Amino acid sequence: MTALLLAAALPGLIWDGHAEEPRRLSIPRVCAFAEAAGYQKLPVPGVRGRAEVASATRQPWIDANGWRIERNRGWSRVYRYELPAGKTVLAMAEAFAWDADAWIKIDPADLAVFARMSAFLGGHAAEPMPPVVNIGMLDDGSPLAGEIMNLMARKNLLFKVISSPETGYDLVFRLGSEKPKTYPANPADYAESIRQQLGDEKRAVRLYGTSSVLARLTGAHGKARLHLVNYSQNTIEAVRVRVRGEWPHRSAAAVDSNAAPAAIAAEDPEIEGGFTEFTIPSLPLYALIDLSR
Amino acid sequence: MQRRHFLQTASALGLTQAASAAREDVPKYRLVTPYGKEGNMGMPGLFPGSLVSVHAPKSFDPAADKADPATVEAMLDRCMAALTGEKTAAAAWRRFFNPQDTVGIKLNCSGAPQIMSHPSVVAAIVKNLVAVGVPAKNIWLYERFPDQVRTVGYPSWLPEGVNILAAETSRGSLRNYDPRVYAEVNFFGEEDTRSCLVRLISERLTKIINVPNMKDHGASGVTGCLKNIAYGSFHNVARSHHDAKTNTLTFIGTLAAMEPLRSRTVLHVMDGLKGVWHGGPFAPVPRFRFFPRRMLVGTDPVAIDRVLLDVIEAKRKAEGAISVWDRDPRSLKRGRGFRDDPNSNNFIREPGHIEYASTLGLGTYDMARIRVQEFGIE
Repeated sequence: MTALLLAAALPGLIWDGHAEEPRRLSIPRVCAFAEAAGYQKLPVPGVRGRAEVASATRQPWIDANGWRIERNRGWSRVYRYELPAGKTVLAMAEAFAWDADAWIKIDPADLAVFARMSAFLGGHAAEPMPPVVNIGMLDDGSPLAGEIMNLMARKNLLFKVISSPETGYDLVFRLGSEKPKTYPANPADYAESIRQQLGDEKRAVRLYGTSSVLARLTGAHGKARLHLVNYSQNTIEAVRVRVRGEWPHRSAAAVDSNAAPAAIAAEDPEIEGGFTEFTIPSLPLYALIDLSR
Repeated sequence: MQRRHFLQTASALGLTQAASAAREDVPKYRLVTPYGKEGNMGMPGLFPGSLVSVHAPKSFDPAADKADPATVEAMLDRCMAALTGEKTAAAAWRRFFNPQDTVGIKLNCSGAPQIMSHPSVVAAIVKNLVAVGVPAKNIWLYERFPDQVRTVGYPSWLPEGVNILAAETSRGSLRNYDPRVYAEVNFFGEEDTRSCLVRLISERLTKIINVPNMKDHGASGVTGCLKNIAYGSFHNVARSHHDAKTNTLTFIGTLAAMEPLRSRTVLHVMDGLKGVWHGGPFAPVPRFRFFPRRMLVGTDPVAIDRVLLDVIEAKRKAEGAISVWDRDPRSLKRGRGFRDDPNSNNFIREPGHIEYASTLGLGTYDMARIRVQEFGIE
């Protein structure tokens, strides 16, 4: 039963080609497009150049789905990606990191990449752990609330959608309730306002040296798992990571489109003041870091 | 240093107008470094409030765009001897460096290949370091951006073995920066709030020679010793400007005062063979370049930059341009408008950063207390 559950956490392949091909590559979950047609389609993840959207902080425009998956967590949604060539690893990493039940239609040329990534993720499948977040988000279902969640995710302001005010969060946010008159019209300014209220010092995860990597952190019982998904698809040299908690033991692996997954060393570690810092020396598309005490 | 300590330091020194204004505008800096003060040679160094200025008309030929290396060497010799009071340049260099040192030379290549730490100046410095016994392999030229450094062609001017490091092998890369030494501050809501020190400085160099140019700067008013050593030794600093606002007023001095950068920066050689009087730090418009054919040498970056302010301001005045102190919002223009119009500003400039740095103990700002020895070489 456990094995089946763990396998279900892996992204599945939508494949209308010869059935033998994915079987030969030991891809565990395969379905035809007709079966997946009713699943919720997700935008293709990545970075877009948007010259018309000037930004004070020169942030790239990231299309990411983690916030959407998080928003729909209580609805048992099943998702579908339809990808052009070259996006397979990124979409699989996103779906796996955010623990989504996702099926992926790929460019046939990416089948071997899908198989390699599937094997890597299968080797790291584990019992799901609860997300580690700072913010409880009371979602009113509005497009504005969705955009705020998107922008919080962009800033790695980790949140969980909640249905009623709960304790256990550093900040509970509800659109239009607590300080409606102080909030600005621009959703980006909402996200920045939430950041200011929370305070950077409390944040569960912070990243330095990149503006195109989104993080998800889960953890329980002295263990944690950090997913780093690089939406730029260009390898980033040296990403500095700060995680809440003292984690003396770290193991990390990184994945690229064109190479086998590889173990990587977390460099320059520092543990101080209830936080752990280390540097991922090279972050291609995805890194998975397991932390323990 | 916490903000409270920072303000107490400034207050104790007696704030003048610019520094008083700055006090109202000090962002909340968190400075993290495992290093403390080392020795007594760091800024303001062995000769606080003192500098030597040498003018040599033959040092640079604008028509040929060429320096005269022999004259440049003579200028440097004269400066070093006068600064230290030693009879020979060799004795002067021995006051600062010994064969056990690993010496960094902080270049300025932001205006390259039109204006930069001229290779003839850098070569003269290296020659003197080698003469006092510093092995070539223990000399490191460094800058942040390889595309700028590459345009200059330093290697052909240098003895074999001298190293050149351009820290950001790709723009924004942290690889060559030290994650243990940083200034953390949120200026405008940017997500990456840290600026880390070049790792070479913290892990390898024992001393640094700073080689800025004589340049106007669209954000900081001028860019001299302080701006070059600060913004050129830390990453992620351009975030300090946004729209018309720049935080160079406090950020430059704050970074320059961080250890170990402060303790290890022992000498400043301002290369004024060429200059830029508008549109700096870059130099895309030829008519804004000029040729002071001067060299300023000292250990006090504030004193040298204070003199630089007068040089740039006088040149701008002679050209009919607005003052570097102009804060009129009507002067603001962006992009090419600023680049081509010397009566415009890209930002509300902050030449007060020099005085502000003096409140951090980095040097002497009051001209009445600065001793300038001036010489000419035929």
